[in-house]
Amino acid sequence: MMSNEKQIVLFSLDGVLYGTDVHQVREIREVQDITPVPYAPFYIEGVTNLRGEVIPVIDLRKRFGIKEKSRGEKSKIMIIVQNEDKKAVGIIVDSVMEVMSVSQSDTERTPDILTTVDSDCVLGIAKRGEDLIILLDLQKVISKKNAEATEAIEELATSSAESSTPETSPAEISG
Amino acid sequence: MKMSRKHNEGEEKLFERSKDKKDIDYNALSEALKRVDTLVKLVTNAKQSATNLKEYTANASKVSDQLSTNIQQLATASQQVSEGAQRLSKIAEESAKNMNTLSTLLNETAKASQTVNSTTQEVLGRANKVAEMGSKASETIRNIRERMGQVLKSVDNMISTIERVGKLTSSITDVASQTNMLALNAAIEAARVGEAGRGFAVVADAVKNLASQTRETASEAEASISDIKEAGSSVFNLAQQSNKETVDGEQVIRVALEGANQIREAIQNVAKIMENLNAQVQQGMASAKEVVKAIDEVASVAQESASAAEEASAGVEEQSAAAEEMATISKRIMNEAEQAESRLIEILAEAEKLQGILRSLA
Repeated sequence: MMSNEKQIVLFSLDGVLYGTDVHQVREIREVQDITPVPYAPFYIEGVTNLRGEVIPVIDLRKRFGIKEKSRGEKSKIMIIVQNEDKKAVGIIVDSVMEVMSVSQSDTERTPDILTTVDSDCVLGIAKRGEDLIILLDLQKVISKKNAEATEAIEELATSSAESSTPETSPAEISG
Repeated sequence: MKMSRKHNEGEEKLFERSKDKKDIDYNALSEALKRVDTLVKLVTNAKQSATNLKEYTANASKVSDQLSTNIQQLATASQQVSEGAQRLSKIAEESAKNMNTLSTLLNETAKASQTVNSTTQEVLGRANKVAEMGSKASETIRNIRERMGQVLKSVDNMISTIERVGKLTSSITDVASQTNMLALNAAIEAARVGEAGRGFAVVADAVKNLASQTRETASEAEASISDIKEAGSSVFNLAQQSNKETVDGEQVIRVALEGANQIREAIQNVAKIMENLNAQVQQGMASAKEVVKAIDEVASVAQESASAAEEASAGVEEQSAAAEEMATISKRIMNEAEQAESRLIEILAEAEKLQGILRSLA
């Protein structure tokens, strides 16, 4: 949105750095008690009470099809974002590092091979020294449209392999 | 009657002679007669004395014979005494030899018992030393255990203190992460405001840095604390093990000490027994000495009595010879007395014949 500099919130998931536009982030919070909801999609942990507002909480690992952290070591950090309906949604990530700015010159478009699938979730890849930061549109990550697609793939996966397997996720990220 | 006839013949002859001699002095005759009468009387007396002497000497001979016999018996008896005394002397000598052997044996026993005594004393000394060292070791171990207990307590205290510190650091970490989150949120707010929030963003960044520094420090502290805790735990375990080992050691020493005490008691008993034995041996030796002395006395007395008996025997022989001589002499005296008697009888007969003649003359 800015001319050639963009403020992003830098976070990590399974050793990979991600960035999301600071304007998509309402706040960072510690995960409090989560109430599981029946018939909810598998990546939805449940709902939680955010200052009187009941919001859904998504596990981004599950959403991306990454293996869960070892037992008893659940992440306690969630990024609160607003969905298309201006409703708050909690997204559990491994850690949130900082608010940083990335310049346009340091940002590259997603390689063509990744854009073959519908990949409007990934906005580009920023460089910070040797590190690469995947710039995400978290609103799109949690949008219904993507969710439905994921669910469809997930159903296929579960019908053949009984459990939610991470193999489906890379396609999901790219799609 | 025969005698009287002879007598008459003599008187007749005398008478014939007087017939030849018509001048007879009757006074002188009467005087002679008187004298003959006296002579007869005297001879008669002498004869009686000779008879008496004969009888006495016969008695004396008898007595001296008896004496000789008695002396012979005495000689035999003293010979027997001498022999007996000699035999006794020999027996005493043998007894003395035996007693000497016994004394030697007792001496050896005494020596052996003294050796045993000194050995037991030595062993007793050693056992005492063992007991002493054992009780010292026991005391030392008890001290060690006490100290170990103190160490355990201290380490336990230290561990609980460290745990408390650990809780503090975890709450520091907690605060730091909350601060971090606050700083993050502040940074987000500042970024959203854009240019206007720049200053605030700097502050938020500084706060965030502080928070992460704090967190690092806290996590370092936590690492140190867990190291300390681990070290403390291992010290605790070691101390506990040492404590247990000291208990075992104490047990071992106690057993050893009991053993040493038993040895000591046993040796004391042996020493007591040896002491008794020694005392008895000493007594035995003293008794043996007395016995030897008594035997010596017996031997010397026997010797003395033997020589006394021999002397007596010699004396008796001498006496015997004297007695025999006396018997011979008394026999000779008796013979002489007999001859004297018979002569006196003859003399008396002549005197009486003379008396008869004289009477007829008168």
